[in-house]
Amino acid sequence: MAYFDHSAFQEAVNRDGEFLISARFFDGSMKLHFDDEALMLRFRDGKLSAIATPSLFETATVVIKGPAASWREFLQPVPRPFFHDMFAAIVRRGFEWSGDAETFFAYYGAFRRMFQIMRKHAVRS
Amino acid sequence: MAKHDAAVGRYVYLTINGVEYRVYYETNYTGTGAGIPLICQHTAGAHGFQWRHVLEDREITDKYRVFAWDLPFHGKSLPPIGDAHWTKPYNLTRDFFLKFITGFAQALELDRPVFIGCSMGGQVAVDLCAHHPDAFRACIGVEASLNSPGYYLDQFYHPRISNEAKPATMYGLCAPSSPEPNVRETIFGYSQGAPMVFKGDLYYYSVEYDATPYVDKIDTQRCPLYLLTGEYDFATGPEETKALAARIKGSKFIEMRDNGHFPMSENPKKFREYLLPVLAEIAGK
Repeated sequence: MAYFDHSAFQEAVNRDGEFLISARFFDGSMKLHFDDEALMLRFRDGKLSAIATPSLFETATVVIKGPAASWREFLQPVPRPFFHDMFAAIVRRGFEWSGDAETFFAYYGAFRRMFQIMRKHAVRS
Repeated sequence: MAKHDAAVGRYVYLTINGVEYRVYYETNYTGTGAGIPLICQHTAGAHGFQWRHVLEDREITDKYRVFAWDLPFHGKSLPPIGDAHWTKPYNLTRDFFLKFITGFAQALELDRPVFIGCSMGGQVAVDLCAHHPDAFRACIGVEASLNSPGYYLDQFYHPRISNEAKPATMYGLCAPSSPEPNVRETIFGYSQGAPMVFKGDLYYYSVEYDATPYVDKIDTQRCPLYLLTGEYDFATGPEETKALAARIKGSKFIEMRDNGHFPMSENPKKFREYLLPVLAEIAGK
């Protein structure tokens, strides 16, 4: 099930001025888990280069897991309190993260902006 | 004719624990007579700019003489000359914090000011109310809680993490409905801080501050206590402030809709809707 329009999202991310500044020099990946589904976002030289289904044992620089219902809340245009930001959702709403802490923290500005753009391209059921 | 804000900035010298500090503050008062002093404490890692909308609010400054400072090491208050601060870690201690605030009020000969502070300033509002109740007309804690463990984190002061990381995380503490320019100004302030300051301030916020031992003894007859918290603040949520207020007889808890952790700067128009009635009540006492 698609939670957001992948191609429109990727295009929007790669032409977003704030994202391009905050993601500069970033090479890595982010794996998103929506219950049992997973999606891999790959970044090359500060751009979102690919969105794909990861292979079974594929690892990522940063991994974020959340229940599907929580992702739906997170992707609302104006989310309820503590679904409005990924750190807030991790601290208060049961999202989990793992992976490279330095990357997650150093590039949080880029990830934050990326999620904001994802919200604009969310598929609403 | 140049356009100016009404507030003016000055430096005052304060000596705390034998060290002299040159402290920057801004002030404004548009009323007649002495006015009620209202002293404003910024959040951890920021500086007095957060109160600029309160400083320019005629509905406030017609009655209140407003002061907003930059703590030493913050904003325009440079580190002290007479102390080798670069040889030791920067940590804001409770002892220093309480002495600074009461010392500022004494130095400017303010008659029982009203204190307002946000985040670590909200916690210290509780501390001041408990330990200096006769020195203040009232205390207003914004985003306050009983304690706030777990935030004295190395990633907030690490050579491999730039000053971009702190503003990025602070963005998420703001409400999504707060005006974007105000949010950006709020988080810009975090990129201005000296590298060690935010984490160092969290030493008070997250390590030393814990009202548990004395919260039941706070006497709001001597010093009224108001507790205002934004609904989107995930560091100190409304439930935590409500729990604090439940422990303090006579305190008043107000949840602020459409606001986060920095209400005075991220959404000043919304904040004043909650602040003005509180200030009117205090002025009427």
